[in-house]
Amino acid sequence: MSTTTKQISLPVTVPIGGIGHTGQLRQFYGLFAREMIKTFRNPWVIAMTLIQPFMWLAFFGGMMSQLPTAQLDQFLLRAPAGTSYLSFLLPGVLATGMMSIGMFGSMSTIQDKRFGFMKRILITPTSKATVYLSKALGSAMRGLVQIPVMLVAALAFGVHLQGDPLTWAAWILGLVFLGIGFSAFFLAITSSSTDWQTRGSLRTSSRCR
Amino acid sequence: MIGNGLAISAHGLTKNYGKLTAVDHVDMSVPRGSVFGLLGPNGAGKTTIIKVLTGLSPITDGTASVAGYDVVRDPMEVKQRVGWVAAEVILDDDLSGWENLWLQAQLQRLGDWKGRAEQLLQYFELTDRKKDKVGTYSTGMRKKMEIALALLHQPEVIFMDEPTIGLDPNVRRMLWGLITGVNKEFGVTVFLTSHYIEEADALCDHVAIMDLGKFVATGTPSELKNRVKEDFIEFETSESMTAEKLQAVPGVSSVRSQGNTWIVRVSSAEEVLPNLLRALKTEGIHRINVEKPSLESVFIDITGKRIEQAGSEVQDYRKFYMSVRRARQ
Repeated sequence: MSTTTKQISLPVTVPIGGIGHTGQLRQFYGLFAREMIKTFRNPWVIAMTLIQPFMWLAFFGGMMSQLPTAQLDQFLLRAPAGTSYLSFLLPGVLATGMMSIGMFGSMSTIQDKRFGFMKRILITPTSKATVYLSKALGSAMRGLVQIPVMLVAALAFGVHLQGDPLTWAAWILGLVFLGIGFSAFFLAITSSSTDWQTRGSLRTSSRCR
Repeated sequence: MIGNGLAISAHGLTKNYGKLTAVDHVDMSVPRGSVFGLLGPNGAGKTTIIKVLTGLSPITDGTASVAGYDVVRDPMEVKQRVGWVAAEVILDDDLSGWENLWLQAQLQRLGDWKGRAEQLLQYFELTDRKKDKVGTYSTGMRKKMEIALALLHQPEVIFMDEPTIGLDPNVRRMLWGLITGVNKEFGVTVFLTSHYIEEADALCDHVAIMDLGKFVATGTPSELKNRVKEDFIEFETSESMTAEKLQAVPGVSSVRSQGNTWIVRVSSAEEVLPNLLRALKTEGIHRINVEKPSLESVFIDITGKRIEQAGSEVQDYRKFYMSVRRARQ
């Protein structure tokens, strides 16, 4: 009971530090930063994010490069000399990587709902749109970290990157949008559910109470 | 803004989940600065009332205002002025205590919040551990941290949903001290739900007893206890018993039964118990309880059952859920 007898000078006035869009921006920043801290503080998440693209290229790329396909022949015939099968594979790997990141990103929302943290957020003057945006961008950001890793991995496996910087910038921008798009899409599907499997089965009927 | 001097007011407040009516035409007025207790079994609708009053769940019918603002018209104004302490401690275990406070400050859009956060940590004796992840805190510390979060933005009303459920007696008593402190020293209106009779009795200025979505009695704890001046004797017997036989025992004023369990209302348990035992076959009695005038006997008087008994199934589920959560931590 010692806590009740202690006297400290309270309360200190705490002003509201932002209204309208400024306030929303702070709420967004808080939630987005939470996503980033939670992700990148965990060494396993960082390790897996970095290792996954290498493993993909090494195992999947290694196996698939043995398959003779007409389409691949066409690609390699038209491509400049020295183009490897991995160059053929790389864009696809990155695109599917963005999709899987989107799918797994929505799990953090389900987790927040299951363990009640979503209630803690929604009991503050934070709009659902702000929560949605911070979750979608947080999820996309986790995926985007893989792009440079993947490019380094591709170079390590002997892929020659060609084309002008503008094409590359456009291609990376496309991946960014793809990451945001997939994250937002899967988040929309899971937003009305607390079921871990929802993102795969597209069920939206169950309700969060 | 509604300036009626009340921290919370509601008229005809109703909440349906499909066909289930969780809250059924509830009226209430909670004066500013008071501690209001909602007492009832699990499943009575207590948590649902908190959800609709804090804007977490839409109201089906009726009106409600909290901290002077209408819950339906101005939910954001209400959310800016209320704090919330959940039944199960809800914190981000991956973040430190300070980071949890920082996030709360962002969500509440607070200006210079650090001074107040430091003082709250000092008040709740958490300063030394502020940089540690809250996942490493003890149960009591987690509960304190949750109350600190709820107080950071200087709320006018703090909602505490079963604040001491699943806690051991020492932590419970420590929390009682904190709840009284929060009310007196911070000047915050406290709205708490509980199914512990002694908790409502010890902490609350006003109590509403709730069962099946309705307020069945309201008043100060002493007013409610004065409603029932007689004692109750509750017993379970395998003997086939009739109400008439029990009514014939001198001193018994009324009789109720639920299966093999009988509840008799008597002028004085000490005087009637020997007579009652003479009228019963003692070998058939499995259990016998005497209930002196208390909030529990008010509940028994109105509903014909004990608070624990009324919510036992839900409570078992809750205990299981709590144990899973604790195991996870």
